Amino acid sequence: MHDSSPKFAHAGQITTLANLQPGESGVVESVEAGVFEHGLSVRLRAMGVSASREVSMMRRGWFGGPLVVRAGKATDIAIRRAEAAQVKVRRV
Amino acid sequence: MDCCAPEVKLAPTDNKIPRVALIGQPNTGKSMLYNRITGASAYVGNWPGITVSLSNARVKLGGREVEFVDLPGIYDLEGFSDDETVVANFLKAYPVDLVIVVVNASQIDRQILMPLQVRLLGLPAVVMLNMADEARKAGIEIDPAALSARLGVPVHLISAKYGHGFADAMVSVSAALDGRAGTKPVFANYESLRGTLMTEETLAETLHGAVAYPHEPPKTITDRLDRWLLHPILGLPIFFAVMLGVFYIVWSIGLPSQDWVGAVTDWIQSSILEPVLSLGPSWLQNFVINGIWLGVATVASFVPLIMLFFFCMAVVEDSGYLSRAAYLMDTWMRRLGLDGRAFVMQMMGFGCNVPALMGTRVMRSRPLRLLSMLIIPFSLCSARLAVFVFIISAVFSPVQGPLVLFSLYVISFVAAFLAAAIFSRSKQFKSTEPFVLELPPYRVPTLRQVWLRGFGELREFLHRATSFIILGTMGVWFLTNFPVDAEGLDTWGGQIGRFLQPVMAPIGIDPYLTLALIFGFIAKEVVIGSLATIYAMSAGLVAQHIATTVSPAAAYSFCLFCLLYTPCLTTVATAKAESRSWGFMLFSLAISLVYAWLVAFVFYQSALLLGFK
Repeated sequence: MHDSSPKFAHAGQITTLANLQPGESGVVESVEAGVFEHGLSVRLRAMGVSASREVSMMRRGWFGGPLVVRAGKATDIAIRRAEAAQVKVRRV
Repeated sequence: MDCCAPEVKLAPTDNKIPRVALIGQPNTGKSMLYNRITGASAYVGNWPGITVSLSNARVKLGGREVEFVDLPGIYDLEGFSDDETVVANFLKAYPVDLVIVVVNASQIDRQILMPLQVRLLGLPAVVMLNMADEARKAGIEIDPAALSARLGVPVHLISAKYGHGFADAMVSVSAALDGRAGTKPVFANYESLRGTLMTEETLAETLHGAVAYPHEPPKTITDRLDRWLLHPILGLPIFFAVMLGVFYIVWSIGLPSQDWVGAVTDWIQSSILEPVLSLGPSWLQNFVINGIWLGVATVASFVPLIMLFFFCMAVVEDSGYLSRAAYLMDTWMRRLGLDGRAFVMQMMGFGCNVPALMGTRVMRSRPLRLLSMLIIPFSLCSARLAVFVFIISAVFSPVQGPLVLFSLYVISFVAAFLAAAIFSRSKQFKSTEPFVLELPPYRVPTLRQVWLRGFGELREFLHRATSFIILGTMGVWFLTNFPVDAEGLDTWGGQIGRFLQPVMAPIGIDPYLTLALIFGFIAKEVVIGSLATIYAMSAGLVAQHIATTVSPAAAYSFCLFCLLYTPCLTTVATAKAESRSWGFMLFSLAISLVYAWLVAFVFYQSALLLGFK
């Protein structure tokens, strides 16, 4: 589906959702289980965060607060950094 | 087990009436659709084998009776959260004739998962794409006919809020039921769901050609509002201002309303009950008025407060702000094992603990909810405030008074946070749910929604708490009226007060005040009135008497104990009803007593050591 070639330095690089800066987007590679076992990937899939879907960082809370992420076209979610660190994304 | 609880009244296994279950993700307007279908006829029923009560209603549809069941909003039919387990257990235990799958039309790109999963479960379905108006505004084009062909079930664009497309959709439901006439209702087939891998391609293929999203989504009001409301610096002050606003409404309208209701119940007592009862023996009059009627009046005094509280809650919740509050406070509450919603309820608890406990229903994770319910009773509610004002003004100077009162507010917060920090380590209260919260777009709640919410919560409160509270007031009446002819410390209650002296003396509370605390178990409002009975003198004299017999250290110790032990019988009844667990209720009761005693003990003994008397 998404086959666009890297357009700038970071593009194509694999990182975690927790590392995206506001305004940056990525395509989800995988969702790790972490300490949440199956729960996290199932919940995130229902929220629209699963392999090959696009996510973009809207805002980051201060003092280590949660992140606001747009999943797909029209879903905004708040997610803690520990949870977001389990989501591997490829920068777009 | 809940299936053995005495409140199980109905076993909805009658299969002659077709059963239709509503299923969908949270924030899809599923309950709003349910309310539109059933009107005010819905009632909450207990289903054996299902750990929460589900709302259901019988409605005439196309000339026959149909039973509608509102299942909890869930993200995924394969999920493991409490609500998701409830839905799975329901669909395995109770066959259905039809499932209405409610989908948020704007988010069909991901929510299409649920209709596909329902199809794999082998359940007959009608899909309703709700909030079609929002989707249209966002420039999303949906072709229901094409989707219907793909899914093999009817698909309708509707707005449950405004009613668009609703009539057609219900005709379709009726037709689907007609088509199944004579066919047996079906159980969900979870093997087939588990055995099929659903990939992103499956979802994309289903939507291909039937749904088109605009390339550049239009800038929404939500985006603009969020820039301020979720601002890293301004977000919290705005949140506190909103909380203050709601708190102010509850404070300035809700609390006086208790007096208005009190005036009505007093009038009924003095103009109807007392004249009628005076014909009978005096013990009967005493029992009916101070045993039963006191309970009825206590329940009644909560009626406007609960309605008002839930009107406010409905606005905060349905507008989409509540999940933002959770986001804003999460940074701080996370460390205590809670999230921002718990903080909202704790703040509400400063008005009254009872609706705050009921409000924890917005939390989906049970451990998180129980932990919140454990700390809410430490919020200094208005009834306790009345006790403190009375005691403080009797014992402390006008200069010290406000500072003493302020210190109690601070202790209320600290005590709640400390309890949360301690108990969040235990398995029962540790939320294992990942913190991933949807931030729905801002919406204007309709009056109808707000009204239904307030009314529904009130009805449930009355249903669940009334008998418990009346039994409680009767119990205390017996304790404080027997043996016959005994007064004050000679009653059973007074004897308990004296019996408890070895425990209460170390925290500076004498038998008279202990008896007042026993009365205070019903409601803190009763404490001041009861002091007059206990000391057998008028309220003004009681204040003078306390000023001379109770030292400031003992008075403060009494306030601390009052602050932290059980707020009132209504709170206990609500904790029982909301947790659906006697164990939790008793635990919460025991913890608050032990906690109150320990804090008062440490304070009083330190004060003695430092030379205060």
